[in-house]
Amino acid sequence: MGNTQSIRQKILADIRLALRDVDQLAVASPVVESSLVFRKQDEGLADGFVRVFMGIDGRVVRCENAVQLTAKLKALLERRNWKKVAIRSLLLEEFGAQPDVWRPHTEGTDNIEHIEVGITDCEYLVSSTGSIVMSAAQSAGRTLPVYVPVHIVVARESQLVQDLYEATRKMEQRYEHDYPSAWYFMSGPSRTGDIEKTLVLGVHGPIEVYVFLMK
Amino acid sequence: MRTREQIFLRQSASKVSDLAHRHKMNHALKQSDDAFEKGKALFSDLELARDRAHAIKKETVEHLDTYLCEFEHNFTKRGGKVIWAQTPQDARMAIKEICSTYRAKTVVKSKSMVTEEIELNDALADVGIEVIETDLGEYIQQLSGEAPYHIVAPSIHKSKEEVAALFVDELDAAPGLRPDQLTRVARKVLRKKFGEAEVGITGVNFLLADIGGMVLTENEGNGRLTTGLPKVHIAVTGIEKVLPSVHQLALFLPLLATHGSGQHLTVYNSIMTGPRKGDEIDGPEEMYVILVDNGRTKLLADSAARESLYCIRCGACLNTCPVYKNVGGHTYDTTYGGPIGSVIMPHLGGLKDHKHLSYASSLCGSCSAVCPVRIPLHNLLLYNRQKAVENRLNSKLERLAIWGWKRVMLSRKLMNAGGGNVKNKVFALTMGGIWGKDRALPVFPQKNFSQQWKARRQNG
Repeated sequence: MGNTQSIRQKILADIRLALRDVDQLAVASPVVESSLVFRKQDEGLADGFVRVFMGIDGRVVRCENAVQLTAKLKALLERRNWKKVAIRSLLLEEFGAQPDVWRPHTEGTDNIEHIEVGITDCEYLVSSTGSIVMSAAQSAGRTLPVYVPVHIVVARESQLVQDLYEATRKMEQRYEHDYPSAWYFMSGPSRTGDIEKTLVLGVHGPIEVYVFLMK
Repeated sequence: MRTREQIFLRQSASKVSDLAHRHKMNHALKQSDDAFEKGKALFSDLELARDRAHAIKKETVEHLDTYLCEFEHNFTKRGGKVIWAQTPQDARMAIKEICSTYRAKTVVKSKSMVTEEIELNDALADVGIEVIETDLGEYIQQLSGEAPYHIVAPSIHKSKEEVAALFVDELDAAPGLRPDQLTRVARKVLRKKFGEAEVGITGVNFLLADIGGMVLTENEGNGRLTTGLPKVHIAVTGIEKVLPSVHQLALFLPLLATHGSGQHLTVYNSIMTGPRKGDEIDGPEEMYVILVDNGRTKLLADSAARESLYCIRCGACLNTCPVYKNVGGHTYDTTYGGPIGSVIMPHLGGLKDHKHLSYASSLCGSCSAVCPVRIPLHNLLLYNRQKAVENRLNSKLERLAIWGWKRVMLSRKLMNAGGGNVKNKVFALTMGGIWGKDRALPVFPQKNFSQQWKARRQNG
């Protein structure tokens, strides 16, 4: 690849030559604020998120406090008889959910292929689009949240933001100039319409996505 | 040997009378239309959103060198590598070299039209690398040995029965599976491949200059596995895909999703800013972005056609196009079909071989009306026709016909010459072939306009 530098120079020179009719000084600063073009709903961030997220086949469990959240989460795992549960959540750790509560569920999760459920935190939740924001800086990393058949996110209502614009602004503030190598906006379970436009959930990613949303 | 134009005409003629094809396309595209109508509800002012998107792309494309260099600077700062490729061969060579450095035997790919453009899969197969398409639609196309039929929905022309039969033949699946069962089969087969592959290759939906990142938009999750499991991630993109700022995604992602599939947002929108960082638990060790020119600087130099570089590849112009609906994706025999393909292919692949595509349009303007970045597509089709005529690439017969038409139109005497019967015969004789055998010829009235006008004045 010795000549990549010269190819680079050639392409840039071609671009500049191609644009010689453009007044290069007339730089219009691109419009960034785009919230104005989207419909506003008369509802709170949490209600909005729940409505939109359920509309794209996501599931939401609302909780009053940490105790209720851990109890509801444990009940779900038991009801569905999920045993191999990978937990990558600082929030759950913070709640001090006793290790005993979780131990029966975390056996056999060394091999990612056997995991039935992944429980993770998130960076933000986007109300208007029903999106979960995650990043590679979090302990779940890049692969686990999309590899597992069931993904459960635990979050506080304080992590809710209005729209994508607010989400990218917050990510920028949080990470300044040391961005995570990957950021994700995830809106519902994996889906496809590639066979006769028939909706099928769970193609390569999770077939079920839960958000446990705590006040 | 037949010219591309002759093959196009022959294929078109056969597809438009293929009722099974029409039925499948109408069924699929009707669902796209319905979803699109619903998806628009996210916007309070879609027209304003399109204006803004157009303005941002205009500003970006007119300062393309600046934004590409800014992207390159910010991306390489965090350990990513940028390779510039002027020709498809440059790009293929660079990718082959990376694959050879990492001794890749298997490459997983997520959907990318630019890699179709540079014919990457064949080039990698030639050096003994197994290339697996992982987007379900692309995988179906790869299994059947076909190019994508649509830039967003690659297997839109196949019925579920056809896919089920294909899976029986190629994957030993049980016969008669439903779409959800077929999807499970593909998931299982492809999971294994994700684990084996040394290199993951993706396309790019947007490059972001300010944070030095790239965006990948998808619904299935294959893009995320492609960029999560293999040791190396190579992203291949045209140079026009850049946006100045990550914050503009707030506008562009909903526009792309709504126009592409009628969703508010696609399920997975991932921004990648480089290889795995030291404190991260997984991700590729190396990340490359290949910036492909392949004729785009030529498009850029044409100040009239430049706007076609604003395209975000949503596919909405294909969905709405009466020509695409009827002749189907393969008839175009180009990487990009539909109106946007007809506009850009003469610039990317040569006017002589592709100018006929610009004539395959009723100039109804439906494409321009739907385009989220307001590319005046049907004007550009007309512009390509003008270029073809300027370069004398149209047929002698056409030149003669236009010359004759002009003579007649400029002369009242010639227009009035001959009665209706004579005109009908002359028209059928000279234009009948071009008019098409499945279309009724227009009938000239017995009395010409002058005679009718005079008669009316006398009566009235």
